[in-house]
Amino acid sequence: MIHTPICDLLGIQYPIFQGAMAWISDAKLAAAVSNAGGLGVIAAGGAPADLVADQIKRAKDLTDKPFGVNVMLMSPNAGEVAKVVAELKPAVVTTGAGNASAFAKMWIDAGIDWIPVVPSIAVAVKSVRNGARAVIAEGGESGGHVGELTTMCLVPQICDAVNVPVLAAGGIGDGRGIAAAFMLGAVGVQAGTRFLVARECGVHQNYKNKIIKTKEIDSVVTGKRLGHPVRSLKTPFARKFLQYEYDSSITNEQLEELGAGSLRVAAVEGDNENGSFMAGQIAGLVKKEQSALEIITEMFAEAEKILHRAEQWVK
Amino acid sequence: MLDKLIGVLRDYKGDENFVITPDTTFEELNLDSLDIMDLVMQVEDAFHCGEINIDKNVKKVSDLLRLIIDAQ
Repeated sequence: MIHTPICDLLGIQYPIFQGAMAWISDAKLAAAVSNAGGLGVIAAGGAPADLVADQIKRAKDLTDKPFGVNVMLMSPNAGEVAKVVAELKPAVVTTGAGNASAFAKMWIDAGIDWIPVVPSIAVAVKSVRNGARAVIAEGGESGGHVGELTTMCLVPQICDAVNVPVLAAGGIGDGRGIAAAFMLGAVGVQAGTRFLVARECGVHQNYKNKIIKTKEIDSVVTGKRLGHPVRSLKTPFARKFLQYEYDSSITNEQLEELGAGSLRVAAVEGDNENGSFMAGQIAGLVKKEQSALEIITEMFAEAEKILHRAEQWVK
Repeated sequence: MLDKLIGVLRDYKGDENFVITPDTTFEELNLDSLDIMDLVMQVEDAFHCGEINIDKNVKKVSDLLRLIIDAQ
């Protein structure tokens, strides 16, 4: 059995968070992950506060276990969503894509554990100074908005820099990833792509099918020119975006316009031509739909075996 | 104070001769969002001030200087 300080801190059975995926991780998926013993996370994405409130209330109906809400700080609705989170008090709030210090005190005062996703030591240290209970060090192997550093390099450096529990994210899709993360100093993991194909995940079936068929070389990072790099699968949309990105006759406004709404088109409509199918590099090893419980128990059974075997290399 | 801040910025850029004035923008300094967070930590340490929160209205060196004064 694997049990770490993050389990005690949050009252969860397995030290795993389901990564927040805008338009995808809703109350149903989050509750399923929490009921399976992990920490499910509702993605607020760019949604208005009332919709996020509905999702939090629904999750509370579906599980009595702790769950989280991710506030995407680049969203124009972030301020209102932050207030709703403070009012409805999920156990955890995770944050990404910006500086959460304006909201941190409000959440902490409400008794919510704030656990930011951090792409660098500076962001991690500042977050801990502002009251973060743990941090999620996310490498650029992950899907969606990504940083430059890899998980392998980022996690140990963050572990050295802060005195709170560190979760590793980016490129973790099975028990080998969990075991590796622990060797780097993490005491938990966050996985998004693997949960995209959970039976309880309501994303369009075309999205799931794409993940299951994906090879290791099938993702690409676009949006660097705009300062908001995003990892997604190499679909016709992603190839077109990449082509436009290197075309100096295309303005940044035109690029922004091209990208707007493309994740929704993939997640909700399953549009293979015009959708942005965000996914991590680890998608290549995700081969079947399973329940959230099957995913978590399989990942941790494998991790446990690997960690037990690790001693064989020490003579 | 301005001279000290310019020193921190030049040190961060690794270029002692980098021309920096109060009107120099972060864009001209060629810093991305992670660089800016890292730089802010160094500025906080250098000036022994409270937390500096950069937002989208902070575009120039003079804006950063104002935040440092407010944080002291």
